[in-house]
Amino acid sequence: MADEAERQLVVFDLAGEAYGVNIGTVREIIRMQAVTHVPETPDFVEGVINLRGRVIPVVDLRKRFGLETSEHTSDSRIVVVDIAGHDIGVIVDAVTEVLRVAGASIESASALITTEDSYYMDGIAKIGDRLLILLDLDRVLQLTSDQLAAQSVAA
Amino acid sequence: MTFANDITPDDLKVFMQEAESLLELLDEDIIRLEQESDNSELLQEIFRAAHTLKGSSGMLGFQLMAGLTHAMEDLLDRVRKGTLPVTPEIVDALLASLDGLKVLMAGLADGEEATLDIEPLVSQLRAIIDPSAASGATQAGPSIAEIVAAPEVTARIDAAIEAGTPVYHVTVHIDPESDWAAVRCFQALNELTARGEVIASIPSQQQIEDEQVGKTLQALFATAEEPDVISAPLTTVADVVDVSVVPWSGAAASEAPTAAEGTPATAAPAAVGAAKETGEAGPRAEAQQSVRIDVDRLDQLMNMVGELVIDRTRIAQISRMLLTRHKEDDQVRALAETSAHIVRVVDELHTSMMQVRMLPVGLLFSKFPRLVRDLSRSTGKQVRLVVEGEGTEIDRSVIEKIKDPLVHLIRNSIDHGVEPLDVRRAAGKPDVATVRLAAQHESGSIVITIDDDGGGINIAAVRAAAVRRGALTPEAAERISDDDALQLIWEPGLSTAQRTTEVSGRGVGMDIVRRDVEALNGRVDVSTEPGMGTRFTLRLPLTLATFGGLLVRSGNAMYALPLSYVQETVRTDSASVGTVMTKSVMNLRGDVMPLLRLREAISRTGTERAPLGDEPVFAVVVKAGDGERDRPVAVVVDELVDQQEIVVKSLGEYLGKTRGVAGASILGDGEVVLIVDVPTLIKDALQGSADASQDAGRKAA
Repeated sequence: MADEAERQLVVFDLAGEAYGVNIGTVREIIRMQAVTHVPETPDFVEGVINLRGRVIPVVDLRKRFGLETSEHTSDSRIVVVDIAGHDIGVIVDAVTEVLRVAGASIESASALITTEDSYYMDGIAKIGDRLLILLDLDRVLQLTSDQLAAQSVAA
Repeated sequence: MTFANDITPDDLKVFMQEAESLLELLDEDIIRLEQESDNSELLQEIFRAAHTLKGSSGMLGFQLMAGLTHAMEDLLDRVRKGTLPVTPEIVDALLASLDGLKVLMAGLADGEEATLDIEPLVSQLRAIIDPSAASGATQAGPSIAEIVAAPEVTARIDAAIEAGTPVYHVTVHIDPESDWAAVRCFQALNELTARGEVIASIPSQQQIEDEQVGKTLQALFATAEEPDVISAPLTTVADVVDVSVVPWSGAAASEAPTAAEGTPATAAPAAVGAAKETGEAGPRAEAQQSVRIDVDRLDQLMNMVGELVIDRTRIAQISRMLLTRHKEDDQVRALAETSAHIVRVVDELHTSMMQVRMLPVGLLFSKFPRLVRDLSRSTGKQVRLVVEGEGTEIDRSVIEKIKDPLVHLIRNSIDHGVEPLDVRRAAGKPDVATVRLAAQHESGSIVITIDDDGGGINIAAVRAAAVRRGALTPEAAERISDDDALQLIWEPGLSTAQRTTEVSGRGVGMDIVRRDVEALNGRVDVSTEPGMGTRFTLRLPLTLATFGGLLVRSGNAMYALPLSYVQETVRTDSASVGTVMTKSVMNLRGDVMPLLRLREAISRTGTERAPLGDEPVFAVVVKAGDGERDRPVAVVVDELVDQQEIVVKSLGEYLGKTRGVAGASILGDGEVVLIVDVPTLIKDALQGSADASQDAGRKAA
């Protein structure tokens, strides 16, 4: 999915890797706060938080990717993104920077990654000598059909 | 159909609001008209409404709506002048046209009238005005379609439309007594050709010259002229008794878009709410000082007041604490006073806001006479609807959500409750069955009852259906009391005579009704008397936005329970807790009730830990309602925290429905707490103990 246009990205750390998401989807970035657990939700859904009077769900990205979990630190942040009109918070280890990346430096993910993980990626950006994985959050946060099935049972 | 494209979105919005009000009015009034056929004031009101609608829609270029309302107006004019009496046929035709208008309106949200062939509706109306033309009209219908089917005609129609020239269907009725029909047709046709292109006509030019004519001339006519300019010269032709010029909407689509039908119904409540609040419901409402408010703004206001309510509790807590610690400090005392005042003011603001959100339940009830009439016709049963307590007020959030359950219950009464005529007569009952819909306030709730004087619910049939469905064994079905058997109607799939009618597609069944009502924190009960009738009672909270709640802590998390379910809170010890047939129970002053631990009941994890020795046990005793069948359940928590006004926040759609959780709320200190779905927990607990006794029964047998 390489294209020519420049993209502006929010870059964050997760278990030692750097990931980027389209700045257009990011509503705000807030500090880690107490999360109220909601029962009978998928494992990676931490729970809900109070965002200025609204209740929004929060997802732990490490759990979502099946990575080892670790204690939240003072650098941990909740990145609130807009997915199909809904606000959802995503817990990351740290938010490092906002970057502009030329379209030309973005390679299509499937060209470089052969596993099905490439489904969740919007591309890989080459910045200097580092690689930045661009996440397609719509797909990352999309409910799997298993979860949807589980929900309809619970209902 | 092309029309003036210089309509601003505001113009459209204003028109739509006005049109929707008028359509509502017409709906109700036309139904009333059937009962009050000599009410001249009512007739005037109806006529004026149709007239206004014709004018506005015409002005904005909505030709189809204008054409249809024009035909309605013609009919109504004769009725109000006394030339035609009100008959069920007329009411049917008017209602059918009204439905057509609603369909046309549905497309307007996208800026264009929906495609609908108004021809049959117009013909139906005209046939009543002039029955002799009816045969001509109905014959002509198919014939025009046949003519249009011819490729060269279609091509010419398309060409006209391409060029932006409107196409009309012109009908000229000639006096049946006239001897010069052919001449008159010829003259009429000439008038037309002078002003535009006659694409096709019945009779055709050739037939006219051969004097093979009837008493009606029909033509498909493309012209840039206005309908009035077209019809005026036609009426001057001698022997012409009637002229109609109606936009030609194309022979194809009279598939009334049923998907679109959904939108006016859902858009209507919001607009109706706003419109009715302005008292623009016509002469029936007294002239009130009122304003129109955008529903979104109202909701925003409500959200902000909700925030204030949360903060007001917080301020009260903090100032109380400060006062205890620093009662000598003047500033602290001043703060305490001010915060007490703030608390009072916010409470008043909250109450006022709740009232602003209240709507008279009559807004909802006003849709039902039409429903009852339609059902009455379609089932062939004579039913009248009596409505009481229309002024009873209810929160707008509730009003929108009880419509479906009420519709279903009314259908149920008419479909299954009301007996066929011969059965009623044999029982000495009046021919016309009565369905009564009533609303009233009762200690912080609104109670809505639906009763019918039908045959009652056949409990034996219900037992049989339960056995057939496998919900009960034949022995169990025999054993349970009548009361318990009656409750089986709430089980899914258990209707004894299932007739799938065109319900909104969300599912038929009493189980859906009960689920919908309980989702509103309400309850629905049924009582019946064989041969006499059935009554459904719905009890609903006045608002969904806030409720009085009990805050508790269980397993490190805070939960809120609606006070409406709470009977009492108890502090006791392990002596009161025991097990009966493997299920935990609590013995409260001799009453033994099922017991559950809140945290585990909701997240269904972990095992219950029996309390030890002198450890205090805190429990909240809850009941689903006050009926005889409502048994208490003890919910054990770690701590009873506080009682406060809880503002309901949705958990959002991403998480979907979580069983046992009815929503979330934000406390004064910002913490998010889950709101417990108490009815579900009670059901689980009672079911658990029922299962346990059944198991025990089976083992013993």
